Amino acid sequence: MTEQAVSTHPPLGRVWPSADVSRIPNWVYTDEDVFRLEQERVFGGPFWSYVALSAEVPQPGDFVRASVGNHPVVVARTRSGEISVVSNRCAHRGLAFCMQQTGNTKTFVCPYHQWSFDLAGKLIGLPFKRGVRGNGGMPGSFELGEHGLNALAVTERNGVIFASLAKDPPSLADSFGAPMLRYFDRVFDGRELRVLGYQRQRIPANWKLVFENIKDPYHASLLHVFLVSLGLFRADQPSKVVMDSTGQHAALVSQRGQRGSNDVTKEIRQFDERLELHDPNLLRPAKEFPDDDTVVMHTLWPNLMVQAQTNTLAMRAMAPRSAGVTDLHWTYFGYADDDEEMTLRRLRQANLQGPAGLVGIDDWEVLAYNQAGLASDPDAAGVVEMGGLGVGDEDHMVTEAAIRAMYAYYREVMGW
Amino acid sequence: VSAVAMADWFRVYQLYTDYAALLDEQRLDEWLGLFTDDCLYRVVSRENEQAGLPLALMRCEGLPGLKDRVHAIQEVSVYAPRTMRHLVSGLRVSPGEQPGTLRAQASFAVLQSLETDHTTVFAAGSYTDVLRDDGDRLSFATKTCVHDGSLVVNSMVYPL
Repeated sequence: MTEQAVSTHPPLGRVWPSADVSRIPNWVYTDEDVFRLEQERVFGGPFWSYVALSAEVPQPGDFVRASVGNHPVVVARTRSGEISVVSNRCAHRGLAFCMQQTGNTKTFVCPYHQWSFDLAGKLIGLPFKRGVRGNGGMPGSFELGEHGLNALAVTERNGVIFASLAKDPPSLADSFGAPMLRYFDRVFDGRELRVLGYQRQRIPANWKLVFENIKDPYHASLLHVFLVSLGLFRADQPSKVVMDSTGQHAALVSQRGQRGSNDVTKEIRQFDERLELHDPNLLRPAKEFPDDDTVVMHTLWPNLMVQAQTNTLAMRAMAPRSAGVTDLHWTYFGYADDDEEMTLRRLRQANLQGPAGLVGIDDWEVLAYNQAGLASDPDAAGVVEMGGLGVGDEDHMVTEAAIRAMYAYYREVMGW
Repeated sequence: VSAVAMADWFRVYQLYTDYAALLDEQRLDEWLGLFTDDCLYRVVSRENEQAGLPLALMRCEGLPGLKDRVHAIQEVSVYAPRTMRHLVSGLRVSPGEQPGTLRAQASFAVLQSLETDHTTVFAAGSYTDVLRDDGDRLSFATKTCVHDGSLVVNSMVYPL
């Protein structure tokens, strides 16, 4: 465990502090050089980043901005109905040309010199190409076809759009693996989706801390007094951690348990058995999936968390900004065939999540303090041994196995 | 030009002054007294509001819903101590659609002071509210706080 990992030329001259993944060095969260390398190997690697729901761009010409890592992109539906994802960077001088979060357009026109592109990113024209009254103009060697926007690889599954900066990423099904596809298809079963709204926040913490938070059921059973006290998420209820064979993805799955005290709640310092909701409508759950699971928190490498907490369904997409800053974009949704009561239920339960969430606030505050502590000593390391040293599936929530599994994969991707 | 008498404008101004002071002094139980029993309090992003999307950042239905939020702030949520400062201006008041109600709009800025940091602007936006006027008492029947910014500065602990 204390043995140094063997590598002759480790990236950035950094050496992982343990042979296994029971230790995580603080510098993975704080070093800007690590952050830059992650943009290349993780967010620029052969992986599928979530960019949008198909329901956000239903009509030809519809577009919405998104991020692949810290790389800004625009997701659009072309005239022929295909989805295209292009870099939000003009092929001429590099402007982030798309100034609106969402809209409908026939062409992308960069405001600076009015180069115009079709929605697939092809350059279709530019002013003064042949000059003005014999002056200027582009040289005869200039070919429109060679100056399109950078187009990303795109794939879609049941209304969810993913993009990759890599040329030939494996198929989404292969990237996810069967156990993860099962949880993905549980929510995205082919029904038409309806977007209920967005929440966006800037978290002063590294993107991996945000991601790990959803791979860590140990914290949720302790930190979140609201969840625990109301019996929504407790260490003594049926639960499991399921991963793909590589450990990059994970699903935390649990079933709503009982309220009240017992031997388990004794160890939770702030457990409040008297906590009662004045407004019980806030949490009136309705069963909507065939199984009995009430919480499935699904982390899909490298940027997506799919939240199915009782009846709140949301995509949480990370846009990492620097080693210590991550933007988190939430898209809440339901199904097009939801009745009014179900929509209202989703809107009410949304009080628990997001930047102002009755549960969420705990996380954002803790993550900010986590980052601050890590930055104070980049060469120290965290201890991740809850549930043993294993990286496989577990049938309880008293484990950090999914965090270890992610770091086993991260080390491989990064070369540590 | 307000469409109500100056005396009523001043009564509404007093309500907003109390609203800001009780929030900033963290006298949240007294703050609850500014709302009707069946109020609807929402904090929404300008993005959702403009797109006609119903999702809120905070959605409290009636006094019970507001009490749950206040209880969470006082007893349940984990967060770093902070002082918030609401600056409310540009108050406009007009008669409401129902008898005994007024419509009010105002702008707000909220500053946040964390213990280990300098003061920052936390939020800016607008209030669009319906007030119930019982003659001797004005209270919020609906309060919609529109958050202008795209990004929330980490976490929104206190109501806007």
